[in-house]
Amino acid sequence: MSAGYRVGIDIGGTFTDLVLLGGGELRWHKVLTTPQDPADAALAGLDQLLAAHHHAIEDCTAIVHGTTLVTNAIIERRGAPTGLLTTPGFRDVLEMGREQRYDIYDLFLRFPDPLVPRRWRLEVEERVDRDGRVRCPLVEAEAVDAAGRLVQEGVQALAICFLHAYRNPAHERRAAAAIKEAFPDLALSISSEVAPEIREFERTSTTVANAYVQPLVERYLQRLDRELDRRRFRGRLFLVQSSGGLVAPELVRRFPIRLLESGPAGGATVAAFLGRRAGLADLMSFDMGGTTAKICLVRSGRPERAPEMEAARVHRFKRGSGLPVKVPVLDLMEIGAGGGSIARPTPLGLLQVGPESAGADPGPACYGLGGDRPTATDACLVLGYLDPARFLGGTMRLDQEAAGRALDRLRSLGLDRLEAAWGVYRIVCENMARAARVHVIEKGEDPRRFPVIAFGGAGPLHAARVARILAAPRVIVPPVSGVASALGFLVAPASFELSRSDPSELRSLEPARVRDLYAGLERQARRALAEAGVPEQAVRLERWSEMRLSGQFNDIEVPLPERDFADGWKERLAAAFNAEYERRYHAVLDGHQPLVLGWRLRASGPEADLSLPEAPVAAEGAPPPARMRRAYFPETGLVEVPVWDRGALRAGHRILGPALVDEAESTTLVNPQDRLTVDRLGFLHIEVSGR
Amino acid sequence: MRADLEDPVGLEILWQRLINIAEECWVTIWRTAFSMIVGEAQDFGCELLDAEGRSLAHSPRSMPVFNLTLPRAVEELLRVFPPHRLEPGDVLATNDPWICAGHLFDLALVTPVFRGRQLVGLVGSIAHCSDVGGSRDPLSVREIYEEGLQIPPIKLHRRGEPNREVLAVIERNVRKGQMVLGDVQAQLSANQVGAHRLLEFMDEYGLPDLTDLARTVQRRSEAAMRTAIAALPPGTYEGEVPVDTLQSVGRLRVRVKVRGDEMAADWVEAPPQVERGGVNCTLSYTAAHTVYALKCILTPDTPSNAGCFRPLSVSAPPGSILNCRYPAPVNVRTMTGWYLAPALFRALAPVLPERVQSFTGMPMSLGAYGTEPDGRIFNDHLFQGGGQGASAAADGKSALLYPTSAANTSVEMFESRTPLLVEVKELIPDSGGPGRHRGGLGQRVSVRKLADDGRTVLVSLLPQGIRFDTPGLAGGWSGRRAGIVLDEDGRRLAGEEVGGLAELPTPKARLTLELGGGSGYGSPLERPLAEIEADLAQGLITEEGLGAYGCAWREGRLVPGPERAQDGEGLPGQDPGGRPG
Repeated sequence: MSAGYRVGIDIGGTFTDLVLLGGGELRWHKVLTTPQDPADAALAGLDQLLAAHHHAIEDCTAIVHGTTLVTNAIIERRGAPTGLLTTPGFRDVLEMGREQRYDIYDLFLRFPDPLVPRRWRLEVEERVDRDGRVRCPLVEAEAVDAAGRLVQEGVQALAICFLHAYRNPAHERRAAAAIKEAFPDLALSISSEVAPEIREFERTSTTVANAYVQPLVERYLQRLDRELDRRRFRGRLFLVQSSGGLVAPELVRRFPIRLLESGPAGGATVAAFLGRRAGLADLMSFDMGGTTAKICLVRSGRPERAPEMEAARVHRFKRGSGLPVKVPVLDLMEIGAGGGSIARPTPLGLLQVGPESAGADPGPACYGLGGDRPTATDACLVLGYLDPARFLGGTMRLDQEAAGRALDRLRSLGLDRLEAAWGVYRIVCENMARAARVHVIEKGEDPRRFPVIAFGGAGPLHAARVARILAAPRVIVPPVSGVASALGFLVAPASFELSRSDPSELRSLEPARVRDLYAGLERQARRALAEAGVPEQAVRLERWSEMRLSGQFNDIEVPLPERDFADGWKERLAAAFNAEYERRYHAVLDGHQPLVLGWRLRASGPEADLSLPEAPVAAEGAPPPARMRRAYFPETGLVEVPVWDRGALRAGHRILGPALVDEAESTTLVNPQDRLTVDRLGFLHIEVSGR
Repeated sequence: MRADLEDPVGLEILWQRLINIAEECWVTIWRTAFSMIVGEAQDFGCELLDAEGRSLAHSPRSMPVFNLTLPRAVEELLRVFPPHRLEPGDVLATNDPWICAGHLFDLALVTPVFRGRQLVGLVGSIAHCSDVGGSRDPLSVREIYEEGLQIPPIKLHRRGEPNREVLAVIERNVRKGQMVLGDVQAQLSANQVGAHRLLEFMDEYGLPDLTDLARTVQRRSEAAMRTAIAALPPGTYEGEVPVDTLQSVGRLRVRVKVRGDEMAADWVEAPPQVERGGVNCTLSYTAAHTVYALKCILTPDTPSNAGCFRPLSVSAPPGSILNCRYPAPVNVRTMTGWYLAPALFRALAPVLPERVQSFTGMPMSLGAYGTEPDGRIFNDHLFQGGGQGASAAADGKSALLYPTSAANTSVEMFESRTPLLVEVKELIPDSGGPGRHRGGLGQRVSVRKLADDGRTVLVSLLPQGIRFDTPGLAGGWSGRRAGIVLDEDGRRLAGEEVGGLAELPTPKARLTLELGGGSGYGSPLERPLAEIEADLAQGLITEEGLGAYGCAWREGRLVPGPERAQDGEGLPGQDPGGRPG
């Protein structure tokens, strides 16, 4: 994967970003996404990018691809007609969910409709108990019969989820095998493969979501394959999983749900990578676009992970209003704060911004596309942070007066135009800072310890203020910050993560059993990496357990001490658990047994060797600014602020804020008293003052 | 700082920070709890209060009634332990139902927060203990002494030192004491986290105390409530619902008086307090359920604090089931208290038809207690909800826990912690109350023992909504009643009703809970045929259930009866009314 050129393609909601890297070259390109068939824009963009820089597709050794296809299919309900087979008595588990109201004062909560309607949820005779023992044997013929009825009704994908299948998958496997034989064209997903973990609702929900998108992803990959083939692409195609790891298309065909957070994962991955390049192991990734901001904590050089997320929330920012999906994801905190976030007065006479967004249509008022409600972008324009003539490299002129008029709608709060603009900007930054703080603190860390890496269209414009509120030490704005996710794809290693739920008290655990369990997981994971072209000897394995005190419900991750499972291994695992528990909860509890809930394995290949063009430190001091712009900072009031073009900044340059740095896809804001320096890779470093 | 309080931007930030601190407390309990009722069903709440004990903010996920009873408990705790008797590191505790959340299970822990020597606020939590000792049969008890351990206002910690004697008393008096104390520890950690964060917050913003901030947020919430009340036509509105006093079916009637920007909810009719069976509500609990329902109706979007409730007053006749006197039994007071909101909805439906909801089928929990074959004790709850009531806006959701904020408990998790087998957890067709909007469906849950090991499993139950129907609003029909059946291969083991305690001696005995459906909203004759047909197709209603809608199933098609005049030709799928919104 090292020689030749590699291309990263990130299909987002509005834009498809492409990055080409190799031979000391770094090129990028942005095209509008084609929602009808996202492959159209990806392929057209690829052709354009290669042509513009005189490369042939034969030069490409790899294309790494991330896409919102899966997440959008679930949100827009464009998946296949899907059926579900369950243990008798449990076909409604999918519809009941957790039965919990996610807002205690709202009597009229809405919940997402299940992906499988009730008539397509059928029960098949079988039952396994908590220990995995068969209480009632499976009758395969009945399963085949049920599948037949569903196929007749037009079902194209089938999920099978039996109780305790995480403990004993035999019934699910036998049912699937029999059905496969009878209906070879039916897409099949079984829970013991897709999400083999205890808690029937979450496992069923995940398995169903996997089945639901399978035919769609299959067709998409076939088309992509065919088109790339036609163009004589001879390299490898990889897809980006929600965990940030790459896999070969073969695996995605089986576990398409793992593409759920494909794009944002790239952003956090590149933040971690760039952080390491800048010598920072711990940092906060801050990716802000038009609708949302995404925050991800990076510790010891790696983005934080989570074992599940929620898809297609009815209320985008209300926990509990979506469909739970148990797949390894990067632990992203999503906040309803983006350039398009709309500001409005609340009934209490307060100012609120977001989570509603004006999106791309009608967009912020200053776009002049018919929007008249004040947004975060309008505020930035009125504050002088954006140049109306240079937005998106000057391809789109912003209407300053329209932005001002929109902000005047906040006059009922007693705010004049500038106060309103500052209020909106400040609230947006506070919202993000607050969410980031909770996110970081929930992980037992102090937000003041983490430098912020900012990217996405709106990230560099807000990061310095967010950092100041968080008292974070530094902001780093990488090059190509507008297409960072696509760049992230090119640094991500191939990886595959597997887990097995197998609750057991630590004291009664048999190390040999764990060893055997891991042997099975390892075989699967190695096969997946082999499909992705990772040589056997380059595979790196990590093992960890999910542990808690016996009787608790939430796990903490504890890395396994070592792989030999020999004498004293259990004691070492117990010690590791105790240390982690104390770190998080400042409490040690006697009299409770440590319990292992499940075992996890991650196999990964080597990280890509991404060499960014590097410049020697030649410059010093500050170059003359390109122009001045009247901008508002609370520390200075409305003043003339020097503005630089990013292209004119060289390694070694230093600038004292207030200052603005314009580039085509974004503007970097430097607050008064903050210091900006440029490093050898062209990263902008802002030392945050006022801490 | 003063500037921030006057400034809509600054105030929003400070306010949200308070809510966040409470949320952080919540997450701490959730992550470190030991019982299914706290860790999985999330039956707890966390709150910040000012130095006078008035509510400032609570976690958005807190149990509603706990948010509203905790300030009452704190008031009493501060009376017993006035600020000059408090020291840093103290933790106050009580489970007194008359000053706290209405039964002994709910334990309040309150940590005073000091800045230097000055009391600046309090952090409190209430969680439902998995056990508090006393009888397993809540319907047979005559006095609170039988219901378990009473903890009057005490200091559980003094200057950072736990009172180990008290903890030992608790552990000895409850079933599976280690689990109970584990949950207590989770509450203590949460309060500790909250106290730390509150001080950091004050440092960050240079607040010497919380007085001005508290006054400001409480005033804002109060103003929102006053505005909402003032928008109602002045007058008196009455509503009533049936209630099960165990001996008979009684009636609860509320009179809501709107005067200017204030509202009084007076429970003018309620059966006398019950001598046997803990269905009595303390006034603290009655008031909490009353104002909670009113807040949902009047200002659902306003962050909650003490200010919200100043314009509201609540009364109930002393000695009644809604204002019982010590030492009345109170253990299962939800059997009464959960019916207060439906009565209020009924009262206000004529003036606020869009803001109220038809009756929701009540949650029922199943508490399983016994020993595993290896001798280990188990004591765990299986939680589930009934069908949500329909509203002017929509059908009810099938299976939803209300009016609690709890979650259900996973069947696999429950089975892995108890030697029981859950045979069924499914929706009950035709259980949703018919209406223009249909009530959500109730559910059926059956359990039996996994093995014949000679050990009887005791199951405590809350027989909710079994003996009466609760009609819906605006002409909607009642949902299906709840029921509890104990049988052996189809043969009933108990009489008409199982009561509050069931015994499962062998795997032959099967216990089935049938949770009630939600009531409908509007006349079922006005439900569009297309929606009736869709419900039929999904098996949410059956051919037998069509009568309520004035329809029948003949020769493979839906046929409207003469009472459905508005259907015209009555061709399915061509309903002229269509579906609004």
